[in-house]
Amino acid sequence: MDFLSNLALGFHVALAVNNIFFCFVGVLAGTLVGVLPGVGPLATIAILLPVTFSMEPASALIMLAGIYYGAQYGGSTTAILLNLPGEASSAITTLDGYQMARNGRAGPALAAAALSSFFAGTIATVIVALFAAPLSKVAMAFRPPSYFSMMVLGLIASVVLARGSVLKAIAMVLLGLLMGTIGTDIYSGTARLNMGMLELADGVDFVGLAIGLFGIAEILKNLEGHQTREVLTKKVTGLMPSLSDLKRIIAPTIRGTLIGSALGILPGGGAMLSSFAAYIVEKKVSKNRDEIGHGAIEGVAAPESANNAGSQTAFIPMLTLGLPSNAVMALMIGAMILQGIQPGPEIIVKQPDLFWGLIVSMWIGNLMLVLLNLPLVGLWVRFLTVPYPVLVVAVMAFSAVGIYSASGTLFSMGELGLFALLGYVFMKLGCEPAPLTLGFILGPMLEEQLRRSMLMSRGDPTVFLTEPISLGFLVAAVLALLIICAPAIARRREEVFVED
Amino acid sequence: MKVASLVTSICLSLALLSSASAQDAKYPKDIVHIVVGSSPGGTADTVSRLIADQLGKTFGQTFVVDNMPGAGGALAATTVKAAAPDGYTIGFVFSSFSILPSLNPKVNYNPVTDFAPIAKVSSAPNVLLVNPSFGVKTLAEWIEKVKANPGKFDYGSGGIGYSQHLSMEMLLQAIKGESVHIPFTGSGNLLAALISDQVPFAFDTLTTAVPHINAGELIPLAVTSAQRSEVLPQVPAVAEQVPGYELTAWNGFVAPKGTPPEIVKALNEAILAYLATDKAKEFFAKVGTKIDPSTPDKFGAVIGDDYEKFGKVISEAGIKAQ
Repeated sequence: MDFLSNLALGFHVALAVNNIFFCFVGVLAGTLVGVLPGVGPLATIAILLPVTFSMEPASALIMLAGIYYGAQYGGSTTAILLNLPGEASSAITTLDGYQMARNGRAGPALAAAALSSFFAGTIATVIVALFAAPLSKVAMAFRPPSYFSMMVLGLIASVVLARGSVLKAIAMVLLGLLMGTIGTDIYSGTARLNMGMLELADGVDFVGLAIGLFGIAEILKNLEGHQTREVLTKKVTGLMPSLSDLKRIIAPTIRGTLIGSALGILPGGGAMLSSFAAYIVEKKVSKNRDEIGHGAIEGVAAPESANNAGSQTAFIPMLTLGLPSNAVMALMIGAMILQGIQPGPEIIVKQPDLFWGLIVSMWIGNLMLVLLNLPLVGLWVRFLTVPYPVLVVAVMAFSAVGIYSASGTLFSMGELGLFALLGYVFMKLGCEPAPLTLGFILGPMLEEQLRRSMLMSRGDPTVFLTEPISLGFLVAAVLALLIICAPAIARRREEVFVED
Repeated sequence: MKVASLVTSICLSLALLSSASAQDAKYPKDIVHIVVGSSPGGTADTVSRLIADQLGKTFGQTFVVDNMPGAGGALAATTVKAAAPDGYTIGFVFSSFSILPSLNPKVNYNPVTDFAPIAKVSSAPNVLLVNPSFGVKTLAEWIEKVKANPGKFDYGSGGIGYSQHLSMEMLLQAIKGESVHIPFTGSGNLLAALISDQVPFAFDTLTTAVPHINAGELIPLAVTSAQRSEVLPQVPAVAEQVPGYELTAWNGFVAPKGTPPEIVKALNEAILAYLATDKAKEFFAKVGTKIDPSTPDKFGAVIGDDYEKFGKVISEAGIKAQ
């Protein structure tokens, strides 16, 4: 009954008029920055941080949290309509979302993204409310070898992302890994592959990479001829998903929610990795797996539910332990300190109103988001009727402004341009950018955890086998490798995928 | 109501216009840029925005904060160094400012000769933390255990060359002990590793460590400031055990070398005046750092001392980037 009284307290706080208002402001702002490419929740929360000084602590956190998970809703919009990931965590949604839009099914894709996000948000909120404390212990049990083995599994599974040739997919993953090594080596401080440029000291900017490779490259391709865009607007058939669509997204949404909830808790995991993992799993287990990559609604529902679930459970280590699992959570901790609250394990006991109020507000915020986003679907789809040259200029301007505002250097513009050209070349060569992106994300984590494990074990590689969690992941990785390499399956893959 | 506000705003803008023309020769005539070497958000950025806002009110001119994260602040510092020394570009810098040039030969500035210090703003010590499972309760016990087991234990830091790293290197050099450095990425990850006992001990900033000390997850052994900290008066200073040991993380404003002294003076006075207000005291109390204002000369001396001290620690420890 303790739980019910806690929940009641949460509703009491979250339903206070001012908190509902700030929750709405937060999710609205989140949706907007999610839609705008380049501008992320991190920069937005940072800019709004000083505004929260004068607010009550609960209202401040409710609003800032709303921006974060609201951005997960908005991020899918441009990913689906323009192949332009509005948020890093929506990069994978471009694969099937944009294909759906090209098939005239932008409406159902957007609606599926909103509905699966809402489902995931609801479940993840319940998970946070019920299991926050025990789950944070699980996160703490992950030591460097376990992380490393988990990344190995992820890397092997990433080959599944290939829509065409497997060999090209592997090459792209490797290229992504290589690009991930650019920057300062965290163990020696040595600058690597940065050609003497201080701007590359922290590595290649992921936002510029994703927007360039996916979004701007697609624009370049579309500008080659006029015929492709016509298709997009003419064939729009129905804004809402059909009953069979809804049936198809149930299982992927549940799977995505579970994957997102699990990965969100782990440091560095969060929304981005969750969406990739959910997509990869879907591509292997879905009933319609052959369609995924060609505009299947499962390929939208799974990553979108995962990134939203992940962004909710990312709050668990922050709220229960006072430890940030990603940069946004680090900012939330900063916001708490500025409010005079000591983030840490004592928050649940000392500030139950804040803790439960925030959790309940997340669910209310998700409800607002789905109510906000569903009616917007029609409006967004009409965006596609904007003459393409106008749309292109606006999109490129917004992308450039967004990226510049976060970095403050012209160098980032050069990065964006370079990746746009690179993306165009890849497209011509039939190389998919998705495996590269995953390699780019996993590479630095893989290296960081591998070298940390080896440093701690004084160079003894058996730690990866003696640690139970690590061993489990390695066994799974070997199994995954066998499945991928099994010749019969491989032959079938070629038949199914080679046609584009 | 509406008319009244309109009238006031007209009067205000007229007043601004006239004052602007009357003080034609006076600094600042244009927007002043404050370059900050960190991402938006976080303490350094927040402090700089707060002060920018205040300077704007004092001088009747806009002070904007330009975030230029990258290379631990070296990118921002290099930008300030290259800016025209006219007072319209200044930098908000923190301890890494005087560490980076010794750490990385590619970092192309000298913190002493390339800048005109304006004012130090605040400072905070680091604290030596151990996981309770390590089984020591005092600095003396820790020193004994580490010296008895050279190279056996790991210690964490927020990154190579961070003040957490150098605090430990300085201590190890002073007591002639050995321990393996495991860098993490940022203070949050370091604390997680400490609490989950991946590394048994580390230095971290006092502010972020306090909640975990209060919760009993970590034991504080000593602070790095010369004196004990007001936040944890029961915890001794390292210097009580290791004479001469001192390290504080600070932040403050610098201008490019050659900025007119009267501009530096005006900025210094405005910043110090703000730091003396109750509003500033309340804010810094929340953030957990100590207001520690200084004259330009004194701030310059702090930068110079740190540059020399850390340069020595870094070369002795053999920490060198290529």
